[in-house]
Amino acid sequence: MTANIEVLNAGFHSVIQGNQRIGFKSFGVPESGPLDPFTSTLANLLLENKPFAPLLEITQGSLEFMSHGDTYIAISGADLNAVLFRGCNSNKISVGTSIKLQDGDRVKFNGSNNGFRCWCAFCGGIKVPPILSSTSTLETSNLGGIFGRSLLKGDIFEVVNDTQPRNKILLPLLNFDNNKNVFLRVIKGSQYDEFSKDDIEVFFQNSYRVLSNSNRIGIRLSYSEKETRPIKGFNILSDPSPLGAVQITTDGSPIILLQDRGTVGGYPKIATVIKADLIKVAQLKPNQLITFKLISVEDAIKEYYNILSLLAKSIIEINTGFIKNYIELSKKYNLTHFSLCTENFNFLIKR
Amino acid sequence: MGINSRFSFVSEGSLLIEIGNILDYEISDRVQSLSLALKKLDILDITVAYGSLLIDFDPLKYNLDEFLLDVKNIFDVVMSTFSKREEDTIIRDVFVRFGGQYGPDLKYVAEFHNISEEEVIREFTSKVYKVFMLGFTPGFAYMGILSDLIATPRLSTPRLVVEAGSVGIAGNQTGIYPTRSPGGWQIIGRTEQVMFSPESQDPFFFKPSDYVRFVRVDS
Repeated sequence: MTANIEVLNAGFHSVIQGNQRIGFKSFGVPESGPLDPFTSTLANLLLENKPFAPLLEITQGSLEFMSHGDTYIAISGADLNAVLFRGCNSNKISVGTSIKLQDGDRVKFNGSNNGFRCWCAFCGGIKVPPILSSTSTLETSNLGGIFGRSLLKGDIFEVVNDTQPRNKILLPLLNFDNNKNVFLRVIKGSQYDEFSKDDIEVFFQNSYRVLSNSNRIGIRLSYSEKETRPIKGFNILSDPSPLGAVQITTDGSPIILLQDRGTVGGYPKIATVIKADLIKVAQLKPNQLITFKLISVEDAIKEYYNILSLLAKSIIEINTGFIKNYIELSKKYNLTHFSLCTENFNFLIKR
Repeated sequence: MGINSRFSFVSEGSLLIEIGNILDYEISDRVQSLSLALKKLDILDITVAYGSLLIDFDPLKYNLDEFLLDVKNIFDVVMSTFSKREEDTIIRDVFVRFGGQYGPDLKYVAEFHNISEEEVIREFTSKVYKVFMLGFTPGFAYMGILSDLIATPRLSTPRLVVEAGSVGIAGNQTGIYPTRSPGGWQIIGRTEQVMFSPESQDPFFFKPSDYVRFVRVDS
């Protein structure tokens, strides 16, 4: 059984991302892959896909596609108000469930103020050949995905369609920060010690505004109105740029370097955003304010472990017997809700 | 040893090793020897730069202190057995058409140094250069060291489009644009050799530590 997806409207920015491109950094090739390497895998896992099967990374919304043939999709990340259109009917698609698509179904992401990015996985993954051992798109070099670029109206891609999704639900254990002011935890960066004590203090006092020219290369920041003073970068002999590095240019603009960054660079890096907070970084939208908080490498690793353990607990399988029993019992006793407790979690099911 | 080195964890899964912060053949040779030796560790990736390298590893596989110790042991062996490169190193030839439509900035470079275009080409092709690192875009090789006779600052405003194969100068470095991209280097010529072919078995023309000679071909 085959299924093809036709892009009716590409939206603001929609791009195929899969596994990281590992092993080519000495040749100038960054890792690429989903901006949030944790949450994105959940969409795949809901469909029994491999965690890094190629999926769509959808920024802001307006993407609309049509399914030619039957398949399944699942969405993780921000709720960008996806709607399923079937004939004259339309239904909202919840984040964290697998949805069956029939031939001719259309899916549209309307966007929302609550978050900026989501990941839409397809049954078995999107069928794209790996380039340099990765299916991920690197737009700056026209590598991977479809023609090495983000989606355009009229693109058609094939779905592998070889998995059998079971009844699974997603517990929202991995949350991003949707406050007006987002705290990002960092550790010391490559040139931390080359900044003056004064500059370092100011760096952590300032809050920064996310600029609209941010992309998968980096989150560009300006100083908010409440700045004490900007700190200036300086030229260094180009050195490696780690994922999440906060680079300060000579004119004083901080940039958080992301998955599609250049592998080396000539600006000093004062800090590195911890891996666990890439979940928040992937949801930053223009005009949001951020501040940085310094933690130790050891604590960063603890947070990383914590995220991985939450990730492992995020998806639970529900058997149909359980659902039938629940419905029968709740009718019989006229229950309005049902509390479920297991070893790892407890939550409330409302009727 | 006389090597001032610094080891720092710059993320949960990245260790930065700094050997020197100047453009220097020996420092670069040391960085590159170290990067080859480190491959025997169970790591994810290595980024090689002029005087430093970054190791990406899986923080679930190693304890930080143990990892640092493993790396330092390899570092000590590499640095104590290090010798300057053998003279029989293979030199790769790159065939270049200089000036005119291929090298729109050759004239500027000549005027900047008050010499003829011919002298710029003669000086440029008379030396063997080292690939210090690759970066900027996949396959872009940073090579040097150019003599002061032709070293020229980059353009004050970068071009929006530089053709693939363009050979540029920036300060005392030279580089070849593997793909059509924006760029701020002074373009003196162009090669038809392919620097980056992502779908081939051997995608990259250069690797760090290669040596390069530019050979003039008639336009």
